[in-house]
Amino acid sequence: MQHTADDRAAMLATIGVDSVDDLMACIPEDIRFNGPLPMERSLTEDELFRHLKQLADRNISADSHPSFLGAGAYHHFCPALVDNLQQRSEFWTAYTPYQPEASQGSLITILEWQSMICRVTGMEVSNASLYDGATAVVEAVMMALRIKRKATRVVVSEGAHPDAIGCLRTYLKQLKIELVTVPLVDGATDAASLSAAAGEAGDTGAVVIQSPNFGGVVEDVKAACDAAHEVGAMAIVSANPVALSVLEAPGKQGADMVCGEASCMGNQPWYGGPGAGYLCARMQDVRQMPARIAGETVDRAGRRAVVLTFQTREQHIRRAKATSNICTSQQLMALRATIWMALLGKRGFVELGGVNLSRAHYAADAIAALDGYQLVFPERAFFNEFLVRTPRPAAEINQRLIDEHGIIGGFDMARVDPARDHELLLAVTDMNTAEQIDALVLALGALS
Amino acid sequence: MSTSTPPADERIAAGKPSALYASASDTQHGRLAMSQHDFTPSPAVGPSPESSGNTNPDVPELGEPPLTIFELTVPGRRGVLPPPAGVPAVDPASVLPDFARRSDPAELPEVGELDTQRHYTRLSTLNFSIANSFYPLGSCTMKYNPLINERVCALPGLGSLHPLQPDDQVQGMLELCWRTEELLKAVSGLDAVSLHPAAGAHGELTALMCMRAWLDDNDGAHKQVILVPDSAHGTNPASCTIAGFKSKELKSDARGRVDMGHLAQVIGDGKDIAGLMITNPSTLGLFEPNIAAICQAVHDAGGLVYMDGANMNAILGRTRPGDFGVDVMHFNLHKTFSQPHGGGGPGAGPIAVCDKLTPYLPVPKIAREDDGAGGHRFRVVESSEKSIGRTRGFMLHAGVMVRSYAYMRANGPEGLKDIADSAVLNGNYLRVRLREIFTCWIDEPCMHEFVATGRDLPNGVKTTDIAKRLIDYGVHPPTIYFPLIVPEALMIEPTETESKQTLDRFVEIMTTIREECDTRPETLKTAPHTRIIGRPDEVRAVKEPKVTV
Repeated sequence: MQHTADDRAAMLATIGVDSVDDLMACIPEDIRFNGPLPMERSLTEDELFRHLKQLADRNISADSHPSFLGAGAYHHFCPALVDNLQQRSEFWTAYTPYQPEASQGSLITILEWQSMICRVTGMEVSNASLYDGATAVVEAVMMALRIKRKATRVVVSEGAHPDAIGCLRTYLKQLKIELVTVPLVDGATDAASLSAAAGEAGDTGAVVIQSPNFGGVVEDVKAACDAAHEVGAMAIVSANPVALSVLEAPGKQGADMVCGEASCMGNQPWYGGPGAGYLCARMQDVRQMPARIAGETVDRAGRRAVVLTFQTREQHIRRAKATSNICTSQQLMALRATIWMALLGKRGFVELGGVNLSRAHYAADAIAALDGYQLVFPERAFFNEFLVRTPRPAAEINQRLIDEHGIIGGFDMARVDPARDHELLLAVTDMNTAEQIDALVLALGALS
Repeated sequence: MSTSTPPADERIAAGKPSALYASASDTQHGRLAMSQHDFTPSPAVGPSPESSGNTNPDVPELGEPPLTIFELTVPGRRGVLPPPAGVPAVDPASVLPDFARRSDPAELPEVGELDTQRHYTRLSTLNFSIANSFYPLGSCTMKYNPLINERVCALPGLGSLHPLQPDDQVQGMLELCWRTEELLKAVSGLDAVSLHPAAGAHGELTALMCMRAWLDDNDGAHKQVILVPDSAHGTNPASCTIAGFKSKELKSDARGRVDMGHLAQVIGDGKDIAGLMITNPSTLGLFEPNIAAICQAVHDAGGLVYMDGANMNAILGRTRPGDFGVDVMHFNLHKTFSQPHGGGGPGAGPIAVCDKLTPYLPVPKIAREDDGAGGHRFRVVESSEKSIGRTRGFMLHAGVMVRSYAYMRANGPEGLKDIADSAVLNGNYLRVRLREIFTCWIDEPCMHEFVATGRDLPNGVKTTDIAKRLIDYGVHPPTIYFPLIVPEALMIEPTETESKQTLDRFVEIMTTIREECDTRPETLKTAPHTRIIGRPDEVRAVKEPKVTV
């Protein structure tokens, strides 16, 4: 209880009741809960820390073990200053910046975030962030369907993240929109197959691809966007923003919307959340965007100011006719990503991409040279992730990597397709040192 | 910076052009302001032209501070260097086809580490936050976020967990999440929990999808109408639309409760009624006295009852939604269970459901099994026959679960009930004290919050003017112009963690502002006067959009 006994008595007297029970009398007697809640007793701060530490200690993580897991969540270098600045309580204990005069700090960082992610993706407008990468794809598709009002179909490449496809399936069922998935050809999206799946011009509202795709393959984004435009659909590209350090900006390749997961920039994976979805688009479509957007203006004295703008799109004003039901962003994660991008800067971002590219290719070459191992798509380009065909089931390889070598292995493709149980998806990032890669190669060699 | 600032006599402290990184504190308040010790991030160090105003002629005008970090860019300057490759460098041209290779680098800032630190430190001081201001933002539950939560979140083995690690590597995290589900079941009185939803509105949508699936399986495929009270959050009808339902407004009666006559009328023969979304306590801060009868009426029509749990802090341990007829609800872990709001996320909106909706919860789910050695092991179940499917990437906001789990365990059963008691005590204390100054819309005992109206203020002063003036006094404004059914609404939620002394000072400030409505209304209409900016031109932000720099 915050209150002293005296304060409490004085407050009750001011209100004119004898007890809090009297105030709670507005809850009808027959539905009051009278017993103690069925849960364990309270813990002191010290007990709580020990309890949580015990739980944390039962996990194996990249804090203590080399990890080559990616598949949509990536470990990257993060400067200490990102942690320090995010811990400013003025950032993490503030609410949504609905009062601009009391929130310029958050609002300016949102404007910076929008500017940086647009520069990375080559797009014109971004929102303040979305729940995560998978729902960002869904929001992009729903935005496309608001623009292409007569469309009844959405086409998605099977190279998209299985979670994104799963979310599309769930959401589009509610909206009675047909979802057509297009199989990959040799690990990559075939633009002609996208067009073929789209049907008559106007049927399809959105064509979705991901690059690098779930198997790590760098897609021909321009060919896919052209295919989308041929059938009158919006071209949506889901992209790992870190890969865009060295890969062409989708905005330069014809994308109408670029989206994905940005928590790989400056955030920890946190067992899948909270992350930060991002969604960028063209200015002409801004009124169909979901969620918050910050914009620069001036105050009445002419001073530069940042506000939330285009709010008439949003649920608190439009209610049932809003562009989305979303009323939050992942502000703290986006803030971390913003500071991360600023600290790496124009040159550091490219260099970091180069480190990923170099280490992943070093690893891929070494693994492909091992007896029994080969790259699944040796002709395809990749950034920091690639598929390896394994001599034993990937699940067994992963188990023995952790048990015998203390290495967290890759993603077992049997989890998305039981027939692909001899394929291992390995991510090699700037967090995997040459020594770690050499140890992985040695271990895999021993398991052939 | 423009010099067309408001007249000096209208200002508590004038905003003067600031030097680069000049101020540790953007707020400086008059003698009635809530004390700097309590409400500002730290005392200003050195000259503070932003806040101390035109009082010191020795501080030269140095122009406007940079808006964004891009303005600090010096070509070639580096912040933090990434690690070296440590392996032979690969030329992108040798491994990436021409069409895929980046033609121009992303134009990110080129700034030093210290400049970056100062820039964001300064930006942080431009925010009101719980840590530096009283923040009575109705419906948002801006309460103290215990720091032990941040300490446990920093433990090795939590944040670095990868979502696709095999179950046997993440048993501690799975157990924590499973235990969080159990605690939410306990406080809701419902039968199963999904931790998937990333936010409250996402919980609404996920729940509506589960309701749709149950209806389809129970001869209700034709049912399209979800009743939503006119006092509801905007997310409720917006979520209905995305879930393929049609929302229909349910009128409140003169006392702000569901109009039972109108309820019977809109239900009619019930054949279209898919369900009801109700916030209880309502956004007016009132407990719905007929809640059991309302739930019964919806059930009789073959519909389901959804509860928006935004105001759960008012009823913890005092009543449970599952016990008064609710079939499904969402929690806002960022309101009730102390996940910090983060300046606008992350939050989390887990849902709790009754037995009949349990099979429809999204996948993956967490299952607890006997480990054969007298203990338990936890497993992630990827699919389930009747599940609505996947509604997000991976599984849950684990970082939010750690904080909310820690918060619930720290409080225990008595502590959670105390939260409700203190929230309701504070809400009523403030209501009774402010009732003398501002008109309360429904003048009767409330729960954790109440709604006042600025409708009858003199001299053309509006609610927004009161809100903006509060900023001058170092208080974050209440929620304004919501709920929509109250004209000129001021929705005030003190929360359970504020002391009587803080509430008393807030009353003192509100009293002063009310006097200012009579004595200097223009000061209010042009407030705030003490921040780095005054009222922004929001029309211009739409007409001449500048959404990137």
